[in-house]
Amino acid sequence: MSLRIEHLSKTYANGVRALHDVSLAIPAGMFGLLGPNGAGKSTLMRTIATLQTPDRGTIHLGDIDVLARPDDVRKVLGYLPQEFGFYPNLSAEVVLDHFATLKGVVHAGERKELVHALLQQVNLWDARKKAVGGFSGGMKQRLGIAIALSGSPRLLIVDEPTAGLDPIERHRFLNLLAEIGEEVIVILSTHIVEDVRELCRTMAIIAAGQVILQGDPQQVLDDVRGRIWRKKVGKSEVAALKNQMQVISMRLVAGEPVVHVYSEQSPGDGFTAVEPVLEDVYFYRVGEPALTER
Amino acid sequence: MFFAVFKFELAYWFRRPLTLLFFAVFFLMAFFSTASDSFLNVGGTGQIHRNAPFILALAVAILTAIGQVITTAIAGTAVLRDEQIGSQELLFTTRMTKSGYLLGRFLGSFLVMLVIYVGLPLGLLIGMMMPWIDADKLGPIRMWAAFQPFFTIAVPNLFFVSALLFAIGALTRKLFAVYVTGIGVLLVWQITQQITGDLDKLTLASAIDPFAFTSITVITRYWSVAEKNAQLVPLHGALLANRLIWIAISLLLFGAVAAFFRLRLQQPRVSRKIREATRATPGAAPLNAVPIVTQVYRRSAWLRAVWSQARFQLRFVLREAPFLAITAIAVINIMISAWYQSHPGDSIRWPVTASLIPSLRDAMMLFIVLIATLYGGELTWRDRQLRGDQLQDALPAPSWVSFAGKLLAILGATIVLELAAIAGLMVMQLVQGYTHLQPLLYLEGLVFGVLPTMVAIAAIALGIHAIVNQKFVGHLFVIAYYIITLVLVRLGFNYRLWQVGAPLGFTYSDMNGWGPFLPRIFVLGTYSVAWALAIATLGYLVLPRGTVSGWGDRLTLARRRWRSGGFALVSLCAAIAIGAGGLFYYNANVLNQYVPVRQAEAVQKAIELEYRPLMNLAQPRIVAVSLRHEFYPARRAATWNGTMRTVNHDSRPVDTLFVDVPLSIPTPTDPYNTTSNDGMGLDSLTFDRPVTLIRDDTPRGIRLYRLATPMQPGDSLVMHFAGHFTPHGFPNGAFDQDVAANGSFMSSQYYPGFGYNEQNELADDDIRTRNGLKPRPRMKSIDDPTVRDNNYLRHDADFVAFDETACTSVDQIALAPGYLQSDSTINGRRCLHYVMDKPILDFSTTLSGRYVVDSVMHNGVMISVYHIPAHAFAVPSMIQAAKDGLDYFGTHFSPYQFRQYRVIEYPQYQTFAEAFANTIPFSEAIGFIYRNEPGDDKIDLAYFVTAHELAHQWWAHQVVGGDGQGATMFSEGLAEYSALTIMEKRDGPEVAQKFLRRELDGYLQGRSVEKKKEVPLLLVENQPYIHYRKGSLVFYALRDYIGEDAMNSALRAFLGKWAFKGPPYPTARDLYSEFEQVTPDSLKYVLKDLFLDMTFYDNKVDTATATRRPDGQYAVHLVLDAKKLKGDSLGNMAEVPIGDYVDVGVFGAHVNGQKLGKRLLVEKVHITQPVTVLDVVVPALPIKAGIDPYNILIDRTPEDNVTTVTIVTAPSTHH
Repeated sequence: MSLRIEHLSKTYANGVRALHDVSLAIPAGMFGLLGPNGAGKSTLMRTIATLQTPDRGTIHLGDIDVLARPDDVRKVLGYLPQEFGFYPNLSAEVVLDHFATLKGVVHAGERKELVHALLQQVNLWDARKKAVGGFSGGMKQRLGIAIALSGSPRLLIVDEPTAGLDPIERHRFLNLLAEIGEEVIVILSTHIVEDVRELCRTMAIIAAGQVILQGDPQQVLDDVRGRIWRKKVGKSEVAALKNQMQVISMRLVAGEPVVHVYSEQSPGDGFTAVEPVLEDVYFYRVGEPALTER
Repeated sequence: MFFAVFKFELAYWFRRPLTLLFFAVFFLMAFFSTASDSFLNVGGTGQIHRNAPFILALAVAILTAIGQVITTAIAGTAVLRDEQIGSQELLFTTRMTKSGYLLGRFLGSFLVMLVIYVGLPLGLLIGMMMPWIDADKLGPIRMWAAFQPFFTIAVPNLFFVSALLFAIGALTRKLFAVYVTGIGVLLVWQITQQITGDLDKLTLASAIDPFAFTSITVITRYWSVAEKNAQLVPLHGALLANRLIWIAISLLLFGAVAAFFRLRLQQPRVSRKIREATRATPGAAPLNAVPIVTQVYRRSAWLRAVWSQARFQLRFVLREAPFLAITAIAVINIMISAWYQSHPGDSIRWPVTASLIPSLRDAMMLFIVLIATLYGGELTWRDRQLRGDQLQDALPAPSWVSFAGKLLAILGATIVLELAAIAGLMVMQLVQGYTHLQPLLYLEGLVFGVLPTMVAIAAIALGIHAIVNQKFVGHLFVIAYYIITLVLVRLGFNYRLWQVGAPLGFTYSDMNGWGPFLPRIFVLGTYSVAWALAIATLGYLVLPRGTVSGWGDRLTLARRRWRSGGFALVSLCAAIAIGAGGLFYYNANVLNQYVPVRQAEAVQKAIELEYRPLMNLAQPRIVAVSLRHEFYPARRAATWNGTMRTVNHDSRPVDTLFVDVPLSIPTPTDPYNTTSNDGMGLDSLTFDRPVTLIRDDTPRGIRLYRLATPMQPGDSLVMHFAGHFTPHGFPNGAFDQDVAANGSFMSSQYYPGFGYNEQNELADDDIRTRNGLKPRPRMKSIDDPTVRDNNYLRHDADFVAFDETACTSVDQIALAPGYLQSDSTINGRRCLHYVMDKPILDFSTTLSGRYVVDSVMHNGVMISVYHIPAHAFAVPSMIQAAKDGLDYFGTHFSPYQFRQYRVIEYPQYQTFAEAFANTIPFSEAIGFIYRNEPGDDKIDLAYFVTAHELAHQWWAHQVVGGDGQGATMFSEGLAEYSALTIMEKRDGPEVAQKFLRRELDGYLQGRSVEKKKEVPLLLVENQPYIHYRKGSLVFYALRDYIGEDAMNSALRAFLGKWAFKGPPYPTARDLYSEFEQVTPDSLKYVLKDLFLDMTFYDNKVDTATATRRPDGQYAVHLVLDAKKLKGDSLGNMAEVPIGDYVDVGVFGAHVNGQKLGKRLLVEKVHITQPVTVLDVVVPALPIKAGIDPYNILIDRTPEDNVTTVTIVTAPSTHH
């Protein structure tokens, strides 16, 4: 089963063009959706998750027309939105039970079993009786994924799940995602490039509502291998360098700027070739905000 | 710093359109309160101007209380806003000072409130200038009268409420705490309203009312109509005290805020944070270990999910602090109201469950609406506010699952609220020593009486919130919905189908259970619930899902839902509603009549115009009545037939019979304005001689017959009649409850009579005027000679021979006036035959019920009380009253004319006792559940009322007044006096004092709302506040002046001259002249003051000091103020010179149960000066002293007559 998105466009009432002719083919397995803030990731995710309707375009999950038959999609959908919350004065167990009911798990015994298994799975067993109002960000996120995972979804959408998590929590969370079966389509939207590299078999980058790249992370890296160069420069040189070559990123390392540039050949003096990472691809494609400023 | 914050606050509010909206709301409410008759009318009726200053003051007080909601929004949020919009971290880290911040915010919001509330005086003022207001309903337009209460009432109210809510907001930083405090203030207001039932606590009630409403009513309580129209409510006394108390409390609150408020964030509650062990995830089971579960997406499965949703949502609501707080407040409120309900006046009632059931509706409705509104909004918005909506909206469950769950949760919350109230009521019963708890009866009351309304309210609230999709606006709409349903009734839209979600009408009776109410409850409940569910379904249709927000998206969603079941559900609800509505219409309009007010008035007007000219037509007089009654209690039906023998007592021949046919003429006094007698019909009407029906106006209750040969004076004629009562379905208005499954109580209005009945005319001047009729005198002048022609009960009969056979089902006893001749059961029917052995007034009753009978033979008179087994509480008091009364009245007035005296309980559909010949129907609500336990030290009302009705056997059944002014002076006035006399003999003068204090209050309050004119007692025009209240005061005072023997000899003489005689009937002047006979000349002025004038005193003790004399006695020095006033019919008072004998009293050591203490000296002193200095000597230490200490005279400030004596050491010059 795969998810096919064709020519999806959405313009908000305030004129913001959130999606522009987006077409994606997403196979089973983990799919990474990268993009800067405001690129249209969440709009795309919400649209796939039946929460929003596009102006144009189609989405098909296998042979389900998502836009025409949202109810059928919801039966196989697990969705973890970017921001969410729970009734603070209720316990994790009660909250999970509540959502399981709404997933159609009507048999009380089965539901209890499911809730318990999920709580253990996401390592919230010990905290199951605690009010969720007191949960940390990571715990909340894990409860969220437990909700998304309940009822064995075949399409799982997680929107920026690791934003705001500390490294330990982030790993814990990604490990959870990694456990999900091969046959499930998992769409992971993020602006943390590392998440995608670690987990995803396919990926896409969108910016300003458009898909600017899609493919296999490895292949994407192969495309730029040997064309990314690095150099420590003086602060005064940066401006000049930008005029001369395609600087894709600049960061301060111990107070001194280090630039990455994209070049088919060695840009010369002082530049060393580096093994590209996904971040380089991302910056190359999207453009580092600091550098695109005028 | 202060100024910056202050300016910012003003700018914030003045830039918001909400501020203008609030101003408009206040302006309009005030405007309509003076410009319209039916909106917020706090007492501008009859002679009281609609813009009387005290009415403007009351309106301002009430509107500031209502405006509480807005104060909460403005002052309560002044310090909470920053937190809500998340700017406080930025703000609190600036260099702003605490005082600058607090003062700026407070004064800023306070000023905004003042500007908004200026709408009140402006609205009042402009409202009263509207051209459509009747000129005679309007006093002079004075700007200050509208603005003075703004300064004395509104500004301090706002100051206090703002300070309180501001302080609570600042100290708790919780919006809900502010809301709950707001509700709490309203509760205090409610409580003060109830405390005012207790005369001793008026000062307390006035002091603690935060809106000063009670203070205004306490100050103006005894103002006459003229004073109310002229005087501003002065800022002194009770009102000033109230204002000072609340301003002081406000300042204390500021102190608390200054002391405890910190410019800091609120500490997060760390303790509740869960500290999770930061261990890795060892051996977390792989995901495929999660069991595969069955997911069912069928509708039946979702229906089951609704239940778990409901439980989930309810669990959330029940843990919410606002819910708990509102519930606590509601329970306290219902317990307090139950307490006051069982302590009416100075008496005690047993808190029987039947009497408390209506409070599950009446005392709780506000809170049910509040909870439904609040949580309708909360549950609609909670998911979105907590950002749980996206999580939820992507789930396969259709939106209706959680929507229906929320609906059930709101309903569940209100049920929990009611159950808590029931628990509170049972605690209150136990506290009062009433242990007969009936939890199942409460549940019955809840399910039948309130639950349908609760379902409707929950559905309407949730539906409106879903449709409006804007929390605050949603709240406004829901509240507006309820205000509109209330206002509609006042505007005359009293047809019950207009009122979806309104409280259901019912009376529960211990005697007759739910009576006929359940079918109507069922139909109206179904109707309301169906419409409400239709509204809720419409809400569901446009319920947003996902990120849709605009109407376009919502309508797209709605179309989809409409197709998949929405249409079916709305149609189903509408079909049920229309079906139930149709059923209601069939019952109310087809089986019964529904006549709108104006239409009923028009009918009465037409009857008056057409038939009044025939008023003086010569008619025969009824001389003998023989009746047969058949009750069918199970069907709530009855039939009757009878024979009336008549004689022409007129000097003219009777050629035309004007027969007054009993029938269903709608009574405009019923708030729901429907006829109550629709089941009643006349079956036959025949005469013992040839007659021609020349006019058949049976639908309007009149038939005219031409006699073939006129009846000459002295001729007789016999009329036979038969009628029935068979109720059909139910009416929109009041049920005819005279025939009941248990406790039927019918009286003579079901039988035909003769002549035009003036008493059916429209009486109220306002109503007559709006129908184009001239106002008419309430009664014939006492000096009109025709007054003596007829007694005031009926014009077609005097004393008649009477017998009746009353039949009923075997398990019941039927009663009628007369002595039982036979009691036989034939074919499952029990028939009892009663015969009177001497003529009685033609005024009879027939009753039937399942009674137990307590009887006692007392000096040849059988005293019996017929009651239901559960209501035996007051039987001993009733029997005692009958014995004491028979003894005293029989000895001192005249012999009792009967050999039996029977008190018979009937259901509480009406709440009075009525004296028929030796037969007293007595409502279960007023006598039978009254309590008189040793040590209660209260007025034993069961005793009193029984004695009062017994006294009527003399005062009405022996002498009855002619139909004109003063007639009720000696029926009601003397009955009241006679009952008081024997109660005083049994319970002592203290109880009599207590009773008279209430009578004084009743009289002074009654005259202050007089709609037409106040008259002296001698000319009383059937005004209860005069014939009962002033009557007992006057007769008691007269006895005090002339003595019991002289009093009784006058009464004896009066009875001797007039008892058991037909016309000419006596008037009050005849009784007055008997009193003149026994009153010494020196006291003749008393008679005039009491009976012929409206006399008032303003007596007061100025100082009272005492010195111990060497002989051990005490010299008491008194300075007494005395003022005598005479009033006119509108209550204008003028001082007159005083030359009166007034009691001066000195009292000593405390005596148990006596307010004044041991009586050391009480004597009548001739007071001739406004200030009298008096020196007296008493044998023991004086504690209290004063003028008219027993309040024998009518004084509007009776509490300042007595003061505590100051003991001074003898001046040194004596040594």
